Amino acid sequence: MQENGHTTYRSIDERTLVQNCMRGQSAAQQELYQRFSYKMMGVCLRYARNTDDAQDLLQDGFIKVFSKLGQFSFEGSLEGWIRRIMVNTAINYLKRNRQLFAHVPVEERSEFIPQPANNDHQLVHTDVMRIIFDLPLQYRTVLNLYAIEGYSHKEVAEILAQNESTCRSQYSRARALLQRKLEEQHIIKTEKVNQV
Amino acid sequence: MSNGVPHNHHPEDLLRDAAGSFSAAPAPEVWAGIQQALQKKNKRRRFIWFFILPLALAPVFIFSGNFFGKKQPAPLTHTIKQTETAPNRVTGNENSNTASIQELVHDAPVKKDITAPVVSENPSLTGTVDNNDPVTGMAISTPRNTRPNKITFRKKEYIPAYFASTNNNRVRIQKNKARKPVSAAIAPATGSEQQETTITGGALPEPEKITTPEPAEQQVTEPSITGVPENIPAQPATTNDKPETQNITQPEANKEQAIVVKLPRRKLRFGFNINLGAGYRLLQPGANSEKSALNRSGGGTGDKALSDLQQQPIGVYGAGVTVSKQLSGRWGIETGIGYHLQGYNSVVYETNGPVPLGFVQPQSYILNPAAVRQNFRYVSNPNYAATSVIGQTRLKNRYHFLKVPVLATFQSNAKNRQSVFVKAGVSVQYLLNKNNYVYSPGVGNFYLPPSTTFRNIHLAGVVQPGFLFRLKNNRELHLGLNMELNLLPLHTPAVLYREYLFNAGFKLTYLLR
Repeated sequence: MQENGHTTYRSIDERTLVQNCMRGQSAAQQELYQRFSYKMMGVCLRYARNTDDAQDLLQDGFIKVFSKLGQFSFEGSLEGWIRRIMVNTAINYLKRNRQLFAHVPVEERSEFIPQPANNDHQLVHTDVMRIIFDLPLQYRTVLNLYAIEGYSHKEVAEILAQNESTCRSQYSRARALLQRKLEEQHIIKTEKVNQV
Repeated sequence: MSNGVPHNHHPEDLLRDAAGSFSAAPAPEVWAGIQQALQKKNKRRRFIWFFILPLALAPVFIFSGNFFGKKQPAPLTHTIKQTETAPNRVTGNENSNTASIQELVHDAPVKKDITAPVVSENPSLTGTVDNNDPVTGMAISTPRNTRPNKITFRKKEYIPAYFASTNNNRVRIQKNKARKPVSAAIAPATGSEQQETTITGGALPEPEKITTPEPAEQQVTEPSITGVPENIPAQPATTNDKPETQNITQPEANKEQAIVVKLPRRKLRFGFNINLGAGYRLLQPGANSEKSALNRSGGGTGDKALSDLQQQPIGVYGAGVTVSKQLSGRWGIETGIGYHLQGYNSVVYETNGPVPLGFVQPQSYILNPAAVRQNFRYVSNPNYAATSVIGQTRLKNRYHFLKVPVLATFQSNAKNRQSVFVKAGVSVQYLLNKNNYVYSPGVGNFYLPPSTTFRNIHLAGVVQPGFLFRLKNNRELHLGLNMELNLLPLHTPAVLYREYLFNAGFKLTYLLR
């Protein structure tokens, strides 16, 4: 555990890591960040308008994580807890930028392009994410909140300050567009697709 | 595009799987930003402790005066000592004489009305304090200018530990140094004037032996009053006791029938205050002649001078809570915590100076990298001639302070309804936030983004003269001027010369009991 007087946290368990982070040890905080930053960057990218916003979200989210680590009760997984903080940070970001999102042209796409993966399974996921990032921002947001995070249409409508019916129709259109693109990429079969 | 994977997924399932396993590399600047924010947070936490600690220690410091600054009171006891006394000399009825001395020697609120009878050989020497004396919190049932031989502490009042049965044979009103003077009236006993005291009273001295002034003039402020009133009506003496000329300061010994009442120390007083005024910033002498920060950072386009001669102060608004403690009749201390907003508007002009040797004028707008490093972004416009005004920026600065003043207070008069006060001391201020609204009308080639402040903790000298009005129920209203001057300089965001904030205005403080 000790290397040249410095503690290494590579093999340390989550509980010890969290406790060291709470003591303010910078090395532990950096290890925690390195463990989860990649996945959380993926979460932030899904919600943000561009990469810069995603990095801001990631930074804000991790500052919250380090500030609130004392509230983590070790009952669930640390990753799930951090992910929830990131999603909440992203939702706050959406709420703050409601007006901005309301006026985003439908044609606007994210400039982020997921990098190709190594194996086939990841390749499919990379393709799916590429399709998602190619969706208009409003569609992507609705898909994120409803299909991935599991919010109801009513909750999505509250977050985005829209009518529930608008959210439903947006989701319907987003799903149809996604489905069409998935079919075009031969990722799913046509006959297996269910209508909403 | 993708082969070898099942194609019968629902779009939602596929979406969830893809999102769950999706990751991307963040930029290295993110971690640097997180580290910076965490360090700042820790620093802020330390600053908050800087304020909390003095506030937490202040009551301890104030209360410590009660324990270390004076003699300890008598040991606390809740026993009531019953002492048999002689039969009532007025009525001759033994049963009517209360014949008891209650040792009310405890610092505790009274649960019910408690009467402490004065059983004295010479009850005419008893003293009174004003009814509902606001300072002591005591209520004594006997009105002024009567002879009390029974003192009642009313329900919810506070019995001081100094109230005790002693060997003195008279009631004494003892005045402490730190207390408001209390009038001690020595008066004859008349049946109609006495309230619930006639039965328990002892024998009166003979009138001819009494040599005190008229009752109306017997309001004295010191316990060492000698004598009793002259106009004590003759009452039949039922015993052979000889009348005495009484001296309160020289109590007789070996008589266990008396009560000593000492007034309790004053307590902390809480209140709130508001202040309104105007603020101004004072610049360090010669500051305007200094070179611009843009050039001092290196690589500028010449000697540029910045001046902000059109400063316009804005209103100063503040509010807070006050805790005060009177250490003596005139002197006291005051502290508290409050919020304070101060700011100013100004117009900063930038004039272009001679171009330094070897500097190549660019043909288009350039960004000065050295200035950027200093949090300044300067875009030079070569089309403007030297020594001409090339930029004009309007600044709107707003400083939000949390302040903890620690003031010594002095009152010209401790007893009257009105008096003059002066408070002076220091105010520790924490810069909660600073808002800079910067915009450049017109030319717009001179842009100063909001910058960080020089320091967050500030110290200001405070002087507050004014008038004090004592209201009912021991409440006070202080109305006066509030003048504060920052003893530590701030840096303006525009120019790195030093500025000192000054504000003056009216302050209103309302002190509760």
